[in-house]
Amino acid sequence: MTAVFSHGRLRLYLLKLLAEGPKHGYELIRLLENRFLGLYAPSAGTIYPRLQRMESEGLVTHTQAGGRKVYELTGDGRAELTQRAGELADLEAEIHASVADLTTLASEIEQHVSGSVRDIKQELRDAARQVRSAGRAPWQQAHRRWTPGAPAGGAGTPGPWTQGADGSPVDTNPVDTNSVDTNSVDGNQGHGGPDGDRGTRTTGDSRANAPAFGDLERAVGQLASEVRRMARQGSAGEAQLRAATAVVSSALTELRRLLRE
Amino acid sequence: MAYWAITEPRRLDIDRVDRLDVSLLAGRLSLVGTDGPARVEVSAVGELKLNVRSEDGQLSVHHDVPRAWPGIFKPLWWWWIGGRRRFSADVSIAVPFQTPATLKVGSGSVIVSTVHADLSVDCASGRTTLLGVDGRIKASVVSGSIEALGCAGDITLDTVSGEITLADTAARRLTAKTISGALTADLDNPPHDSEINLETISGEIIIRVREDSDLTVRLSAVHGRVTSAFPDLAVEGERGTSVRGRIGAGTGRLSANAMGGNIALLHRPVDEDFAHDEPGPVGTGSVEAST
Repeated sequence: MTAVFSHGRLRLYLLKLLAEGPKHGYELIRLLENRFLGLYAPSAGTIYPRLQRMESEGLVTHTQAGGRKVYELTGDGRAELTQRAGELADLEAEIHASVADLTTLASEIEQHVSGSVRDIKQELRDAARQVRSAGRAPWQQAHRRWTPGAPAGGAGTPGPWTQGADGSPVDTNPVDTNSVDTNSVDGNQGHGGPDGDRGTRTTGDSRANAPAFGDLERAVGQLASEVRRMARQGSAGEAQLRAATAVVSSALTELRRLLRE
Repeated sequence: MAYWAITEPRRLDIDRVDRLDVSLLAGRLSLVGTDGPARVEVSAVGELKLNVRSEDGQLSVHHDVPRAWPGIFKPLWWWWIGGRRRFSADVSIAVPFQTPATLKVGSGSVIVSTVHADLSVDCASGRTTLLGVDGRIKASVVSGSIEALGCAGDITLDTVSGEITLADTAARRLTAKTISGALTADLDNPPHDSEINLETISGEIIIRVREDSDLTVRLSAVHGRVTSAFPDLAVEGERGTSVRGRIGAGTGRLSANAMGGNIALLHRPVDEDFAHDEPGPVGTGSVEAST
């Protein structure tokens, strides 16, 4: 469906929509969505830069109305639209053809929705798991994640945030992923191996410092979620991501030294 | 008035539709809102013929169920055994955007996209898919899932056994209930006055709301755990079984109840590109006001 909008056709279609009257960005998005029966809903990140470029080319102007930018076609914009009338007619015909076969369209809609919904569900599940493990009461997990002698927490068992930037889940410790109840966490103590003793000792300390631990937990959780979000959303290259990894691991070394005392 | 009895695949063009009413015993039903003329496309019919009637703008499509419903010698199950295969019809309908619709399917799937009017979907067993529907939406499924993407308005969904998943949904009022089945809602809710109510008996709930939401929050899980990504909300209960508190000004309402599953509340970063398009905190930020 998105293939319909190649070669500057989105721009043409935006001109056409604005020719019907001044509109603000959100309205344009809704209209495009309707035109494509929900299958093509451009994001604000697609529409605004395009409108801005069109504005710098003098095809549209905007006025500020009630805190919103309302875009309007200029004379030049109208001229371009009349000049490309044939192209617009082709585009319209193509759009019409793509919705002509309702039966195929229905299957397309079904696939589109179930695909997007599956992605979002996965994303939310990952995020929830992360919040859950970050928000777990400190004495339940302190020995697992925080003892210096448990490098397993760093390398052996990747935490949720070590997942690929593409969101593909790396196989995590099954205890961590599925259940949060105390029993299984205790059952997991074996993973700590020879550090079991040290873990117990930390447990005693952390109980006394619970509020401070809570703050630390939150800060770490925030770090993880923000870094993940930025890494996913931003268009950072491999070099930047590696640099970011280095920053995080040096912070980790620092923390190891600090918390070992 | 126009009337057709359909026994083989065909296409009908309808002049005027103000209301739609469909009821199928089995099969796939799809409804699309368009700005073009209304039409009905039947690409498969089972042993049972389809009646299509158009009268004063009221379009109705019904499976022709015999008047004498099977009695004691032909109990109901007789219809359902193999019924799905024998009666299954594939019907696709296009109507103008603003057409209210009532859809009923016994066994099969329902797909609705870009309808901007009241919509009611009833499905006994099967999957329901909603895309870009905006209006008063009511969907209930006995066994099967509901998936909604990019919907808005006033949404009421319930299933007995089946998952409910909402993504990118800008609902002002949302009520979703399942008996067993996960509830996942990713909401781009209007920040100041949304009303969100989620309930499940044995499923899990995951909700994500905008981080600039103003909500009074009450989450409680009887046997599960509640976690929240909003640092201002206090987790109560010995094992973290409830969360109460306020996000922002607390003008909206968010409540979630789970009997046996966990609840997680997450926050969704606000799209920066949209920030300047949204009225200030004093305004009534909403989708309706902007369209």
